[in-house]
Amino acid sequence: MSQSQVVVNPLQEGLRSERAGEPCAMVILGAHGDLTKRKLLPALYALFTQDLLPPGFCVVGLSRTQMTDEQFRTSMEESIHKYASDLKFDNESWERFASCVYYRSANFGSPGGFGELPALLSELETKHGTRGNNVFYCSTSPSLYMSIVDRISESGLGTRKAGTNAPWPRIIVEKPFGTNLETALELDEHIHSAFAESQVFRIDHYLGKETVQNIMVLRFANAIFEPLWNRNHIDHIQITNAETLGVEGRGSYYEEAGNMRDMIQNHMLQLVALTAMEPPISMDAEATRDEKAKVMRAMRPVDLNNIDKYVVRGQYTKGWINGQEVPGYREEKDVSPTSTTETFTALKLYIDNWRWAGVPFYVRSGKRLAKSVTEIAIEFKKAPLKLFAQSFGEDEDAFGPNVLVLNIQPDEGISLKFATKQPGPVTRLRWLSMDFKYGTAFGVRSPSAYERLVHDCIMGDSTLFARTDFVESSWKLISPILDKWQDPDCPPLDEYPSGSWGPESSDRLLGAEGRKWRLL
Amino acid sequence: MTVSQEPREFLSGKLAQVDVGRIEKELRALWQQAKNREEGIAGDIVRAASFTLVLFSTDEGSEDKLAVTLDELMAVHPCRAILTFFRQDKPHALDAWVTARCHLMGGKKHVCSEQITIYADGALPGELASVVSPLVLSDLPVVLWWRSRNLDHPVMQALTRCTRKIIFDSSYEPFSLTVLTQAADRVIQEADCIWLADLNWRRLDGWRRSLAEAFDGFPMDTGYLTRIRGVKVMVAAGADSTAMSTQGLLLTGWMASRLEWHHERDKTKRDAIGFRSGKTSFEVEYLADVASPASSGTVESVEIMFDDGRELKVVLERHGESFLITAHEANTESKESTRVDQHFSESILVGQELELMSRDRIFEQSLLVAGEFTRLVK
Repeated sequence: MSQSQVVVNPLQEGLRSERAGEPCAMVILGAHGDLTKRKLLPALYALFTQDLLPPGFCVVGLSRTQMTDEQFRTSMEESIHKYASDLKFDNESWERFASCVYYRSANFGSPGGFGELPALLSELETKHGTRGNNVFYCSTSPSLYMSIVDRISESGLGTRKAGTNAPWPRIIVEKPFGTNLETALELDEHIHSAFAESQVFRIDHYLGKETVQNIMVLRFANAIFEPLWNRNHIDHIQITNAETLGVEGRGSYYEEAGNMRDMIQNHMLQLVALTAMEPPISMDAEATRDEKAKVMRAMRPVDLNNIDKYVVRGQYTKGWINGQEVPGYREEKDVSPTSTTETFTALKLYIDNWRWAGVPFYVRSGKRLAKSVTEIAIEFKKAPLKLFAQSFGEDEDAFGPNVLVLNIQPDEGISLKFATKQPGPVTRLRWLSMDFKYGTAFGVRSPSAYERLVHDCIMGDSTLFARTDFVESSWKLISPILDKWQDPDCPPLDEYPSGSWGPESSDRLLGAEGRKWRLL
Repeated sequence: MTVSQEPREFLSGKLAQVDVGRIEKELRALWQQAKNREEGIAGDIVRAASFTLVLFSTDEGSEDKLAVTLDELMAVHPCRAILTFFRQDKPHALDAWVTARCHLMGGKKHVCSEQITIYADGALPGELASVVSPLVLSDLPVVLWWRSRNLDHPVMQALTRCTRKIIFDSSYEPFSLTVLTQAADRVIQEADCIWLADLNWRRLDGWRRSLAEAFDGFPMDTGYLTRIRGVKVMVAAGADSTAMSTQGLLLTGWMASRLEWHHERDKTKRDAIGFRSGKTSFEVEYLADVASPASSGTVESVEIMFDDGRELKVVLERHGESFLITAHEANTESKESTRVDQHFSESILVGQELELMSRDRIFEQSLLVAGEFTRLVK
């Protein structure tokens, strides 16, 4: 379909509201679910209070539950109070926001299941001036994604038209994008039957975090780091995502997904790509995503014959977290007592390109670990000569490397570890950390990841969304490992007590090469 | 929360006795004192500054009001604040003291910024600048917040040597258009080294947005921007004042620069500016609303006439604690586009400018055009 030209309004130039996008309606499919209550509606209300939503913006909630507009609004107001206490709520702004929030019941699985939605969207076009621009947010079980695409197509709501940066309508899809390479390709093919790739926004909320966005700024806006950012100066990279939480009532989901699908295939590989990518030729969405895709293509497939040298999987048993005894994974609700689902994964990855040849990327992610922390640590090579060896004493470890740490959560910031001389007549060296913390340098509230990503979608900016080739490459890396784990010859799942740092085999992954996980 | 609410008296006397090094020493003592008291309060103390804010005020007695404003501002924008109160008609004296403003962040850390207050009575411009310059933080941007009417003040010249951005407010004397000429001249003179910002321009954000959005197809198509045949700007004003305010002129400057209107010198008078757009001539007319409760000089409504007889009226309305700017297109079916124009405090407006540590090209272009108008008005 040909796309009409978008006429530029010269009065919009330079306005802060350039960040408000074109008028549109957001249809939330699965509006009665947890994600809508905890994240989406609070994010939309936060954007509204900051005047970052376009004029005429409306929300239409859609799910199986029968509810009136008013009941849905009340339910959403309660959710904001419950889950977004950091937001400045006031009745007046809520009333104005809520007056643009609507609800209809629907059955996504049946033909004609969208019911009154097309008529309502048409009414909103006249009433609020949405211009027929719609965003469909799939906040449902992934098993419904294909049916939703069918409903959009059959109801005539998928007709493409031009928009600023990206055509309308747009569709936002939550992870997981498939469960393996085959299902991911099948899902993509189905989505592409109704939407062009430029209309598809695959959300990975990690990419909406301020600190994750800052990785590119740190690397490409500061000239001092990039010359060091390669195999000549970096010994290895450690990326850690540790959670103290267990499966928190999502046992049935986790049994299907496991840590590899839930965290590694998407969030962690995105962090690897952002850390390893070449500078893009511009900050254009495609230029950035091109570079990330190149990293994925250069990633060496795991040697399945020696899988234990590259991948470790573990499952938590009962233990202690923050002074509280917690159950093991197999004792959790909706989890099989003989489950072999991994709750911990550690990988050693190599990127076979000029910059990273021979530099291992150690990635670990797990539940019920000792502390909740997500970080990227760049460990530089040690100084070539131990000029101050005596000043550190006998401890070889004390002669440590410089480490640049990008703290993703909870204390977002950057720190650099370096040696310095202790005051006094004798030369004694100490390793200190020079810290930058977002929370103290900027007194402003950081937008939530969903605020950022939903806003970007409305703006038509897909930079922070996963592109189809990235998803495909990530499954090409991960699927063979998942398949191998089904093989009876594969090394078994290792157990680790809750409150520890994962199974011992995880330490051996690095120890075999004379390295250690960072003490966090 | 403020750790050290009480001002520490530091120095009093003639400039010759001022030792800037002692101010730094006092600052160090202040932080040591704060650290020693750390155990008495919840959380750690972190000293933070990402720029130096130099405030210049000639307004006697404004310190109390500014204390609240700075507290709000520094909670969001940690900085070293150097407050200078310049009182030309007092006997020569220079007093200074240091304080810390601390805010609890996330229930964990007290983020503290330092404030140096200097009273410069009867001092020469160079004297004050010589005290301020060594106190700015090395290699970080310096923002001069000019809380005074006259942009050609001699101290301005002395202080701008180390400044990256100047924030002023052309609403102090809303019908004295000279400030726009002075600001426009400064944009021309300092084009490459200093960025200028006007809080009165920032107050127009809601207006600019409402007007821009009104031409995004709802209620008017963007094509109507080339079909404008007259504009009426209603401004809150006293009975004896002109209707042409600094804010009204900035708004007109913005429209003229964005829409490529060329002013017509011979058609410009006390309450109207003549323009030509393409081959068509028209006027922007300024009207005074003497009954308005809004601050003097504030734009109250903008009415736009088109060549096919349609009319768009954009009006500022008070709704409880907030303001709405509403666009009505009356000639055809009744449609309206509404946008809140929050009634921002001075600290919020300055805060917005501190977030924009770059040149505001649209403002500069609007200011340059508005500066030209002020020279034309008869």
